Amino acid sequence: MDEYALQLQNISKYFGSVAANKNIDLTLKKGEILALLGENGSGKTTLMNMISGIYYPDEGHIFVNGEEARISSPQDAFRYKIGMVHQHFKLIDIFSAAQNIVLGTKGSGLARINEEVKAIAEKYGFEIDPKKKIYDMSVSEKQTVEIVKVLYRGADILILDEPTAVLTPQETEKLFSVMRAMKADGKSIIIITHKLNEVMAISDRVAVLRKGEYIGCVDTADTDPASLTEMMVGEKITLNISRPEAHADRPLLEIRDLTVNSDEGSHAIENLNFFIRGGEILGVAGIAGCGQRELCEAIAGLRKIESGGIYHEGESIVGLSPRAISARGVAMSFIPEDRLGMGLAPSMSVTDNMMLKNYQDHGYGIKPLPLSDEDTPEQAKKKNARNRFTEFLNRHCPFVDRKKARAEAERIIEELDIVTPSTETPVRRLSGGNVQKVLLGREILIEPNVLITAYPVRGLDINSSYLIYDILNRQKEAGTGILFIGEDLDVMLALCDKIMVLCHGKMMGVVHAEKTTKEQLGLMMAGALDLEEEKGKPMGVAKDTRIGEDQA
Amino acid sequence: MLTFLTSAIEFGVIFLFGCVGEILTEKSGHLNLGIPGIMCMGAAGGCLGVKLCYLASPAPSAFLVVLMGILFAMLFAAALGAVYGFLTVSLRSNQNVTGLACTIFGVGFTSFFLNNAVLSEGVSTQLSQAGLHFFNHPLPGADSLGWFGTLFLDHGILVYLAIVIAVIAAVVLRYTKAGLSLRAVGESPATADAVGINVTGYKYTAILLGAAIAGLGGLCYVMDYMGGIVGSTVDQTIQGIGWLCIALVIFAMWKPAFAILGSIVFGALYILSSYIQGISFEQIPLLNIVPFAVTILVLIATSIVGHREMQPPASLGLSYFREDR
Amino acid sequence: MKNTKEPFIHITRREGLPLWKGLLIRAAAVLIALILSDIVISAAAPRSQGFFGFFGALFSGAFGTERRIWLLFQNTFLLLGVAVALVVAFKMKFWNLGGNGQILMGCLACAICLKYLGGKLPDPLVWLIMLVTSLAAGALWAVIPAIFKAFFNTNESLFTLMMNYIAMYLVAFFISFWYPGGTGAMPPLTEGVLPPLGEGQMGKSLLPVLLFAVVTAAIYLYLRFSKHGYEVALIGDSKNTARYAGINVRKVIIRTLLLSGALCGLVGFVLTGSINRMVSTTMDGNMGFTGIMVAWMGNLDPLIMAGIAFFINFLTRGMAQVCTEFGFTSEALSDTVIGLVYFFFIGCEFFIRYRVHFAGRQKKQPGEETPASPEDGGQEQAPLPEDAGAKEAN
Repeated sequence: MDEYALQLQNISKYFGSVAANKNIDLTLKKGEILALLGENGSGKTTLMNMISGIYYPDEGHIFVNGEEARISSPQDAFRYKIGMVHQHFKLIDIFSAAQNIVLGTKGSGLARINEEVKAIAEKYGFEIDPKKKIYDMSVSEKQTVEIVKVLYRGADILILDEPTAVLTPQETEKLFSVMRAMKADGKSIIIITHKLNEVMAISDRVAVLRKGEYIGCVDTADTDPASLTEMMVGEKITLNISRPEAHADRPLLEIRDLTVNSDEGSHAIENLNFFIRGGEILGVAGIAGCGQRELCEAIAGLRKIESGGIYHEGESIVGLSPRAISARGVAMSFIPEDRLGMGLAPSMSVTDNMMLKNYQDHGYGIKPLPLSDEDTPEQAKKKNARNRFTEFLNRHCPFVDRKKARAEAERIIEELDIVTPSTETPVRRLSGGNVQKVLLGREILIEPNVLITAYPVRGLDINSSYLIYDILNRQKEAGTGILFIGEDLDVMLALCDKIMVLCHGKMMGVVHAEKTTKEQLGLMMAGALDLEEEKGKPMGVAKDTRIGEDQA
Repeated sequence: MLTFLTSAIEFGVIFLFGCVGEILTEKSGHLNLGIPGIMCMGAAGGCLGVKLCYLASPAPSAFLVVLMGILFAMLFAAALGAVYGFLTVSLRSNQNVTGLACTIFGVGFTSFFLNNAVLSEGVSTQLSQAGLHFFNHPLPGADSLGWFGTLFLDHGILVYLAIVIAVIAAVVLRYTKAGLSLRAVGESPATADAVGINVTGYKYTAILLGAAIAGLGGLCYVMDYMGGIVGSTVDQTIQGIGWLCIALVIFAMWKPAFAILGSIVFGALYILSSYIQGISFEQIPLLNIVPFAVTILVLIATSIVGHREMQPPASLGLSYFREDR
Repeated sequence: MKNTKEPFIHITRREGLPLWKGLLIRAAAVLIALILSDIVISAAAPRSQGFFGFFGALFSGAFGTERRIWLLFQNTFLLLGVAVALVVAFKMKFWNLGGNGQILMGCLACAICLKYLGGKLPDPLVWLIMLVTSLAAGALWAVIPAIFKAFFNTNESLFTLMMNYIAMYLVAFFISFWYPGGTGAMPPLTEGVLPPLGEGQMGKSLLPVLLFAVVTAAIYLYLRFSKHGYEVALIGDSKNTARYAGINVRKVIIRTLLLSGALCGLVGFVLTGSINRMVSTTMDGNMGFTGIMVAWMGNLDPLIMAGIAFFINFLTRGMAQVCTEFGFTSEALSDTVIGLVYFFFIGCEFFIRYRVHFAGRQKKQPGEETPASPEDGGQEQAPLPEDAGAKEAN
C-alpha cells in the first residue's frame, strides 16, 4: 500500500486560453487533514472539481492509492472512493435527510435507511435526524446531510469546499470535531478555506495556491498565519493604475448600524457603519460571500433591512423604492456570479437595456430648451415652464423613446469600446466583458452621484480592465462617490483611496490604501486582525456627518 | 344509493387510470397535456384489439379478447406518449405546446380511426358483446353476497386493474428506490444527474408507462362503462374526461393513493345529475362545474398554504439540458 | 461537462441562426409532414385521387369558391386575434391556456345582452353594451388566475385550463335555462345583432377580418413600442431585473392579463354578436388551444403568426375537402393531419435552437467545453477563466 491516498502530478486545466490550474502537484496522505488555501480565483475549486469528476484535467495525472485514475464523472470519483461536498448543496428539498443520502445508490429498498444513516452519524458524532425534511433544516444541518451522503457512498477521501463559510463559530467547532473523528477512522480530508485561524486549528498540512499555481505545502505545526498570508497573497505587484487625488466633499452616503439578512435568514451584514464622500473611491475587501451582495441590494432598495439606517445626502432612503433611490442619483452596477442575473435583461437588445432605468421618463423625445445666462428672468421663466410641460408630456407618453436609447447605446459602445454586432444584439450574445461594460456604461449614463460597483472587472482582459479603472477615475474626479467591491487586492491598493474590510458581514476596519499592506488586508479578511477592537472605537462614522441629530 | 355508488366507482376508475398515468408523468417533471388525446388513443387501440380477435376467430375466448384489448390500448397510448416523450425529452420542446398538439392529434386520429378503420358491418355487435360479457364479467359471489357483492365484486376486470395499478404506483413512488429516483428527477434533474441517476431513462420510462396506463382509461370508458357501444362523440367525451384527469392530479396532490378516493369522488360528481331526484334539466351544467371549481380551490389552497409536499414537482414543465448546469 | 468517454451525440445551444435558414427548416418540416400524410391517406382512402389529387383537393377546399376564400380569411383573422391575445400573456411567460374559456365568456356575455336587451334598446346602444360586457367577461376570466398568480404564485396553466370548463358549463347552463327541455342548442337571435357589412359571405366576414387586422397591428405596436410592452417583455425576460428597474411586477401581471382576456372576449363578441348570433358550448372552436400553437409556432411575432394562422386554416378547410373527395366518412382526418404537422413543426424547432455534433465528425479543441463555431464569430458563450473564479467565489 502506498503512503498517499491521493497524488496529483502536473495537473493543468485551461478555460479558453487562460490557465485556471497550471502544473499543480499535490499529495494527500492517508488519514490526514490537508488545508487548501488560496485567494478567490486562485483555482482551488477548479482543482478539486477535477478530482471529483466534474472537470477533466487537460494535462497531468491523478493517482489514487498509488494507481493512476481516470476520473471523468462524479460516479467515477465515487468508484475511487472520492467524495466532494460542494458549497452549493445538491439536495432535494422535499426529501428527508435519509432519502437524500441514499438517492441514486444501488441496493435494497428504503426500509432500513433510517437505521443505516443513524449508524454512520453515531460513528462520527454527527447530529442528524434521518427523517427530517431538508426544507426544515438549517444550513449546517444541510451540510451534515451532504457529508453523510458522501460517507454513505463509502468515500475514503473527502473534499470539503469552504464548509465553514456558512457556519457559526459553534457549528464550525462541531464540524471540526467530526472531521477529527473521520480522520481517526482513517479518512483523508481536503478542506478548502480562506480562514487562517481555521487552517491552524484543524489541518495537519497546508497547501497554498495562488493565481492557479502551486506555491508550496508546509506542515501546519511549522508555520504561522503571517507566513501563510505571505504565501497566499505573494509579493505586492505594482500596478500602473493612476489614482487622482481625492478632493473629498462631505459624506454623500452614510450607513449607520446596518443589519441585513441573507436569503437564508442569517445576518449577512451586521451593525455596519461606513460612509462615502463625493470624489473618493472606497474599496470593499473581503472573501466572497461575506455580505457584499446583500449590502449592494440593501443600498439599492432591493433588500429589506433589519435595522439601522442608510442616508443619502443626509436623508434616509430606507424604504424608498428602487426607482426612487435611483432617481436620487444612487446607481448600482453589480456583476453577479452569473453575470446577467441582476441589472440586465439577457434576451433584450443593448438599446433596450439602456433604457431599463429611465424608460418611464422619456417618450416623445422632445428635448428641453437650453437655459443660458443671457436669458431675461422673463425668458427663463417661460423656458422653465415649457420644460416642465415637455417633461410631463414625455413622462406620460405611452411609448418608449427608443431613439434616445439607441443614441445612448451607440455612445457607450463607442466610449467603452464594446464589441457587439449592433445596438440591437441581445446582451446574452455578448461576451462576458462586454456585458459588464454595458451594465457599467448604463449606470454611468444617468450621471450618478453615488456609484456602487461590484466586481466590475471580473473576467475582463487587462486592457478592458484599465478602461474600467479610467471610467471610475473620471467619475471620481467629477465628484461621484464610489463604492468599489473588488476581488484583487493589488488593484484595490492601487485604485482605491480607502479600503474597508469585511469579514462575515462585520467590519474589520477602514484603512488608507496608501498606508496599508497586503498582509494587513489579508489578515483582516481572514478575521485574524480586527482594527475595530484594537482602537476600541466605532469606525465609519463621519465627524462632518450630514445626518441630523433627530434623524439618527 | 347502492347503484349510485357502484356507478361512481365504475366511472371513477376511468379517471383513476388517467390520473395515475399523469401523476407518473408529472413526477418525472413533465406536464403532459396530451393525456386527453392519449386516452382517446387507448380507446381506439382497444377497439382495434378486440376487432382483431374476432377477425382471427368468430368466437374468441374472453381471456384473449380482454388481453388483446388491454395490450392494444396500452400500445396505441404509449405510441403517442412516445411522440410526446421524444419531443419534450430528447428534443426539449415546450411541454405545454407539445401536449396540446398530442391532444389535437390523438382526438382527431381516434375519431377518424374508429369511423374509418374499425367500425364496419358487424363490428359494433362484436364490440358490445366483448364489452358486456367479457370486460364486464363480475367476480364470483357478486350475486350472492348482498350489498357487499354489488358494491365490491360486481365489476369488470378493468376496475380492479385500475385500483391495483394505483396501489402499485403509490407503493413504488413511496417505498422504493426507483420511486425515490423518479421523484428526484422531477424535483431537480441536475441533482439527480449528479448522484448518477439516468435522468433521460427515468423520464422516458415514466412518460411511456404513464401514457400506457392513461390509455387504459380510454379502453375502460368504451368497453367497461359504455359496454362496447362506440358512439359518434366518443372522442369528445373522452377528451373531457382527460382534462378532468389532469385536474384530478392537482386534487390528489400528486399522490396515487389520494387519487383512488379522488377519482371516486369525481366519478360520483360526474354522474350525480342522473341520480338526484327532482333535479331540473338546467341545473345539470351547474353540477358539472363542481369538480373543476373544487380543483381550482385545491390549487389555490395549496399555493397559499405553500406546504412543500403539496406542491407540483419543482421542475414540472422545464426541460433539462445538462450543459446548462 | 467534458467527458473522456466521448458521447456519441453532443448538443450545444446555438444563437443567431439566420432567419431564412430557420424558415427553410420549418418549411421542410411542414412539407415532410404533408407528404407523409398524403402517402398514407392516398394509400388508405376508399376513393383515392392520387398523390397530387391530395394537394389539388387541399387547394380547392381552401380557395375553390369566393365563399370559401372569405371563410378562410374570416377564420384566419379570428384565430390570429386569439393568438395575439395570448401572445400578450406569453411575452410575460404567463401560460394562458384559458383562451377557450375567455372566448366563451365573451360569447356568453354578448348573448345575454342580445337576449335581454336586443330590440328593447336602440341597436347601437345594444352593440356598445355588448362590446363592453364581452370585453369585461373575457378579462374577468383571465384576471382571476392572474391575481392568484401575482399574489400566491398559483400555477396559472392549470388554473386557466380549469376555467375553460367552468365557462363551458356556464354556457350550457344558460342555454338550458333559456330553452328548457331543448336539445342544448340555441336558435340564432335576430334582434340587436351586428348587421353584415355587405353582400353575401364577404359582408359577414369583413368585420372580423378588418377588426382583427387592426387589433393585431395595435398589439404589435403595443408590445414593440409602448412602455407597457417594454415592462411585459422585461418581466418575461427576468423578474429580478424588472424589480431592479422599479417595476411593480404584480400590477403588470394583472394589467397584462386583463388585456389578454379582454381580447379573447372581443373574439367572443364577434362570434356571437355578428357571425353566429347565438352561443354554444363549442363556439370557441378550440381556438384557445390552436391559438397557443399559432403563437408558439409564430415565435410570438404577429407577422409570422398571421402566416401560421392562415396555414392552419388552409389545412383545416383543405382537409375537409380532401375527406369528401377521398371518400372518408369522418372529417376528423384534418385534425390528425394538423396534429402531424404540429409534431414536425415542434420537432424541427430543436434543430433551430440547438446544434448537434456527432462524435468523430468534429474534433473538440482541448480545454474548450462548448465548441464555438466559426460562423458565430466566437459569440457563443465560451467559458472564460473567471468562470472558475466565479464558481469558487460562491
